[in-house]
Amino acid sequence: MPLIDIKGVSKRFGGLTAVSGVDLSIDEGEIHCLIGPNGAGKSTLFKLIVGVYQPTVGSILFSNTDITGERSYARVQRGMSIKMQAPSVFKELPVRQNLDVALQQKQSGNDLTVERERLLQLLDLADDADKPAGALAHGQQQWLEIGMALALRPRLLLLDEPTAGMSPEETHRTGELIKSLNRDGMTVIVVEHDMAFVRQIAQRVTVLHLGRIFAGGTLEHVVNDPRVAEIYLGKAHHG
Amino acid sequence: MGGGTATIAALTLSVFVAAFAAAVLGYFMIWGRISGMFFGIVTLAATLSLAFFLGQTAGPEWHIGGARLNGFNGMKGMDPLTVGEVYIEGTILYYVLIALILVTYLGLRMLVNSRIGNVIVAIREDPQRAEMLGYDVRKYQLLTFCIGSGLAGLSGALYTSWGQFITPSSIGLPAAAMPIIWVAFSGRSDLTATLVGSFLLLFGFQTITIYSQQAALVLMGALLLATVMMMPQGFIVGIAQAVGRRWQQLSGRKRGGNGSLQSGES
Repeated sequence: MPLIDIKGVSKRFGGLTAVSGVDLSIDEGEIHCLIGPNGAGKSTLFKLIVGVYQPTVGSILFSNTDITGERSYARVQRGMSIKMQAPSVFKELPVRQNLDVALQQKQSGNDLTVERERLLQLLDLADDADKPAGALAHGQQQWLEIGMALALRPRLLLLDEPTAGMSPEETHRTGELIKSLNRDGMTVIVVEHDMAFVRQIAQRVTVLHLGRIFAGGTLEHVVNDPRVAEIYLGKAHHG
Repeated sequence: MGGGTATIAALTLSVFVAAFAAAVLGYFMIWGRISGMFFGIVTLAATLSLAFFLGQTAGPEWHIGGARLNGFNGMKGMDPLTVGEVYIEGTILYYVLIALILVTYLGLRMLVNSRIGNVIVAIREDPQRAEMLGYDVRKYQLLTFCIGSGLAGLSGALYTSWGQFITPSSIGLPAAAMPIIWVAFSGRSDLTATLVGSFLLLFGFQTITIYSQQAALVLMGALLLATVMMMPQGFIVGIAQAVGRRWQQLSGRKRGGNGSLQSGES
């Protein structure tokens, strides 16, 4: 059963069509990667799913409920959670408080404290818990934001370039974390440029190009499509 | 008029009436997606409209009960606060005000440290991120606006009770802009800094006003400009942070001098 069902969605900004007639259905329990060259419309599609933008045309269903007109907070309360492309943490607030703002949506009291400490260990941020989030390194801010997204215990986790600015080791750890969350039943959609990372996690891949779905299927199917190699994967595929 | 607990009831009512007015105005602004500096412009415009309206109420038809509004001349001869037979004036009023400041400060401190306060602070930092964590930002913004307005209503009623008069000029542009200057100068991210900074500025303002009110107003404007250009986070907060950094450096050096390998990095 699809958890998220995108039906004929287009988004225009004045004369620019960022997303055009996208139909995409993602099943519950899947890890789905969106790839494509810069300007393909991946981040715009993410923002349409989470309600930052409203589609010009089309509809979006979450668990068979039409959420097209809903604001972001209502979609998050339904079970979505997003990590934005640029690290988007509360920079002036301590790391601990960043997690608390997210955690208190679902927990309180001792449960919240226990879960916060577990997340701090998981994210390797226990020693920096009292630092302002803005003082963390870029990769650590990415981890913190992933932690805030996880704190909401979502059914659908959306990650926009989660490994940007991370070392290869951190990138690998992020991949393992995503796979372990998926084993526990979480559906994950990832926008990513790093093909090694996509290879590590993806169960299905959709290629976007000029705002349209260009190809889709398993990673092997997509990378063996000569048209995809031509527009995007050339270096990664042959390299 | 007055006596008993009538003036205390009026004082309490001033908080709720102001909060209710803010709820109505805030609902249309926040749900109408007015934000940033436009929010400030609309509230200032509403204030000026009200001041202008009150200036037109000189006729006998404008009254609340037996009390005439009196247009630009304002309302005079209100009773001071009374509890039973005790008049709260002079020294007693001074201590009552200090107690109210403490209660308000502690109440706001508790609010900021609560779950709701966590969300309010997060919204101040980044409203879109807060919404992405599942919070209806509009409700929290409205709540904050109502709390601020309720406190403004309380201070207005106390000011009236202290001087036993009020004129439309008291809600003009200088009166509306002054709290913005106090908070900007002090640092809007910290309650204690706001309290200390407001006290210092008001003390300075009142002292200079004795010699020249115009000079005091110009100085306030210059302070706002200096804050925006030199220390946008606020002077009191900035000074406190600089002292904190210096203290950490000094204590780091001390540790270094005792043979520690720590660098004293803050």
